[in-house]
Amino acid sequence: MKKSAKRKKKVDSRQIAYARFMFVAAIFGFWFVGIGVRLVHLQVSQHEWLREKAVDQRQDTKKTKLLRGTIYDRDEHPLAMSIKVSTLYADPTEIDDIDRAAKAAAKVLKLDARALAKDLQEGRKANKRYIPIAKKLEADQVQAVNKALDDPDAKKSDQPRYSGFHWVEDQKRTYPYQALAAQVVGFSNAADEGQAGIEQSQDELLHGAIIKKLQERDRLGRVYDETVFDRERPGDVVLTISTSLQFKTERALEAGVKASNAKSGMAVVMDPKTGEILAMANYPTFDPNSIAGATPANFKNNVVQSAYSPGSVFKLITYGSGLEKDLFSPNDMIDAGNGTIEVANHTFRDSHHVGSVTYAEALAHSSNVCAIKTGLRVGKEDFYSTLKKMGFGSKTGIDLPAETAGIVRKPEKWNGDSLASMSIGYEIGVTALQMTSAFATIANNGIRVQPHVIKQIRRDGASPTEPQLTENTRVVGEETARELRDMLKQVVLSGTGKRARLDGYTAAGKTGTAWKFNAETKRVDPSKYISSFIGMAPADDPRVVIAVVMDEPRSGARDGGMVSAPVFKEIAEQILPELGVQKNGTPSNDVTLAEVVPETPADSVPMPTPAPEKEAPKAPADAKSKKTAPVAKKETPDDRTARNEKKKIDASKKKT
Amino acid sequence: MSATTIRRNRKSTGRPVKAASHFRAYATIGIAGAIVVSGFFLAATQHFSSWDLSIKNSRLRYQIDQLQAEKRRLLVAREVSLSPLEIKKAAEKAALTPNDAVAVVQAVSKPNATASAAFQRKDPAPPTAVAASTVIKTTFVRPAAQPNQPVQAAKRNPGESERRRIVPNAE
Repeated sequence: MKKSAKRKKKVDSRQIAYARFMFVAAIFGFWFVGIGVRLVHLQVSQHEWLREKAVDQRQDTKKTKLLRGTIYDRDEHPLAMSIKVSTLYADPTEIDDIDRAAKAAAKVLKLDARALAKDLQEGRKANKRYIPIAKKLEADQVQAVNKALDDPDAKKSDQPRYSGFHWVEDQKRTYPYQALAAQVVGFSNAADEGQAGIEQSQDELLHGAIIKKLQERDRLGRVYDETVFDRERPGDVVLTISTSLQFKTERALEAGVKASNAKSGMAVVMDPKTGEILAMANYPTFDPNSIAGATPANFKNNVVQSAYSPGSVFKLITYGSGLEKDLFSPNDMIDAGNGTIEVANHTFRDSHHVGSVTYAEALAHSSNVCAIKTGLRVGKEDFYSTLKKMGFGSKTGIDLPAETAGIVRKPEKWNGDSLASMSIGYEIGVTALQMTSAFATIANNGIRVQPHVIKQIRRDGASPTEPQLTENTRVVGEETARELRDMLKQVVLSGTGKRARLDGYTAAGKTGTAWKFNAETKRVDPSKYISSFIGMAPADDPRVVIAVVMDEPRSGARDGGMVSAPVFKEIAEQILPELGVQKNGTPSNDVTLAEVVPETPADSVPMPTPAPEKEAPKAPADAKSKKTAPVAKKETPDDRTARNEKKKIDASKKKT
Repeated sequence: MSATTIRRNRKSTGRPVKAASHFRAYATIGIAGAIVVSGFFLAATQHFSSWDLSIKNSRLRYQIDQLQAEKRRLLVAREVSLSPLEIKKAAEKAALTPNDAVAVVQAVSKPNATASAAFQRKDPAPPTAVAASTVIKTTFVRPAAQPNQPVQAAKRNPGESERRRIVPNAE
C-alpha cells in the first residue's frame, strides 16, 4: 500500500502540466521553425519569382507620350495642335472565344469579322499581345465602342469591359486652319516627327517625350499611387504669321494664279522694320490634315526653296549700286540709244524705245539698255559687293527648313556679258524671300533686317524667348534708299507697274518678267516666264513689303505688271487697313490696258531678242501660241553690220 | 535539488500577495493594452482613409487629364469653326452674297466694324437682333462623355501630400 501511495505521490499534477506545456511549446516551436524555414526558402530561393509576381499584381507601368507642342500664329490662334486619341488593341492570349470577340468588335467598328478573327488567331499562335484593331479614335467614338463592347461577365477594371480588348493612349496632330500657311507650318508624320516647315525645323522643341507612369493598384484594380518619371515637356512656337493676313494673301494669290493660268505662284508679306513675315503663301497648296491625298510637289515652300532668275526686279540692285557709288542721281539723263546694246558679242534689247530719259524714268519703263549701261558703270567688284551685302548667294537664316542660298557666281567665274546679264536679273538665282528682303532693306532706309517667321518660343516652366537674329546691317545709305523708293514710286505711277496703284495709299515697286532657264537646252526658254512684282506701301514710310511671283503664266499678257501687280494691289488694299495704316494717297482710277507700259524679258544669251509684246489680255490661253510668245530672233552678223551703218548715218545726220 | 522543489520552497516561504497590488498591475496592463489597441485602431483608420483619398485623388487626376484633353478638343473645334474657310462655307450655305461672306470673314478677324454693316445690307433689323437670332453652325462639336461614375472631390488641406511622385528628367 505504502509503495502504491508513494507512486501516487510521485505522479505530481504540476509536473504533468509542465510536461504538457513543454509539449505544446515544442509543437509551437517546431511549427515556427517550419514556417521560418519555409520563409527562408521563399525569401532566398524564390525571391525573384515572388517579387515579380507581387509587382505584376500590384504595379502597372504605363508609357505615354506627351502631346506635341502647339504652333500658334501671332494672335494666339493654334495653327497646329495635338489632341489625345485612343487606339483599340487586342491581346489574343486573353481571349477565350476569338470568333465571338472578333464578331463583337467588327460589328461596332464596321470591320470584316472574318479577317479580324484570322488576325487574332494568327496573333495567338505567334503569342502576340498587341494587335491594333482601330487606331486614333476620338472620345465620342471611344465611348460608342465601350458601350457596344460591354460584357457583364468580364472581370476587368479597365474599359472596354470585354476580355482581351484594351485601349492605349495616342495622339493626333490637327491643323484647324487646314491649308492655311501649310508650307510654313508643315506637317508631322504618324511617329510624331516633323516632315516639313516649322514642324520640321522646330521638331526638337515640339517633340513630345515619352513618359513612364508607375501605377500602384489595389485588388479591385483601382489606382492608389502613381510615380511619374517626368521628362522635359515640349515647347510651343508662336509664329509671326497672322492668319487673317495669310488668308487674304492666299486668296488673292489663288485668284491671280487662276486668272493668269499660271503653273504656280508665291507671295510674301514682310514687315520691313522688324523682318517679321506676316504672310507667306504658295499656290497650289495642300491640307496637312490629309497628307495621303496631297500632291508631294505642293509640300515645297517655293518662297525659300526655289531659286529663279528675277528679271527686271533686280534692276533695283543695279541702280542701287550706282546711286550708292554716287555715279548719278535719279534725275540725271541716260540715253538708251536705239534700244539695243551689245556686250561681248551679245545683243540686249529694250522691248520699247525709250530714248533719252532720266534714270527714274529708265527704271519706271524697265529699260534693259539703261540698266546694263548702269551696271557696266558700277563695275564687277562693286556690283558683286552690293549683291553680297544685300544677302544674295547666302541663306537669309529664316527658321524654315531646306532654304536655298540661290546662285551667285564669283566675279572670277563671270563671262564677258555676265555683268550685263546680271544687271537685268539674269545669270543669277534668287529666292523670293531674298528679293523681298532686298526690297525691305530699301524700305527700311538701307538697313537690312533678318527675315524671320518665329516670334516666340515657349518652354515649360521658362519665360518665353525670342529667336536669335543676326545683327541689323546697313547696306546702302539712307539717301540712296530714299532715292530708290522715289524711283520705285515712279514705276507704279507712270511705268510698268501702274496696275499696282492702290486705292488711297501710295505704293512703290518694280515689275519683273524673266524667261525661265531650261536645264535641258542650257538656255532660257522664251515660251516660259516668271512674272513678278515686288513693292512696298505706303511709299514714303513703308509698313509692308509684298512680293508676288507667278511661275509660267499662260493666259493673256504675261509680264509682271499685268500678272503680279494686280495681286499686289489686292493684297495691299486688304491688309493695310487691318494694320491700321491711314490712307494717304489718292483713290486709284482703273488703269486701262493701253496705259500700262509693256515689259518683256531680255536675255544675255546670244539668241532671244524679244519683239515688243502686245498687251492682249484676251489672247488665247494656249501657251504655245506663237502670237503670244515673244519672238526669239537670232541676230545675224549682217543685221549687226547694217545696224552699225545705220547708226553711223544717224550720227552724221545729227552732226549736220 | 530540483527546480520544482526550489519553486515550491519559494512559494511556501514567499510574502502574501496583496489584492491592491494585483489590481494595479491589471489596471496598468489594461490601460497599456487599451492604448496599444486604440493606437492600432487609429493607425488603421488613417491608413484606410489615406488609401481612400489616394484612390479618389487618382480618379480626380484622371478626370483632370480627361478634361484637359476635352478642352484641347473643344479648342481645336472652335478654331476649325472660326477658320476663314469654314466661315466662308457657312456664309455660302446661309445664302449670303460673296461680298457679304467676305465681310463676315473680315468681321471675325476684326469683330467691330464691317460685320454689322454686312448684315445690315441683308436685313434692315438691328445687327444685335440678327446676331441673336441667326446662329450659323459651322462645325458639329460634341463634347466627350463624362465618366460614368461621378467622383466626389476629396477635401484636402493645402499642405497635404499627394500620393504622386514625380521623378524629374528620368528615363
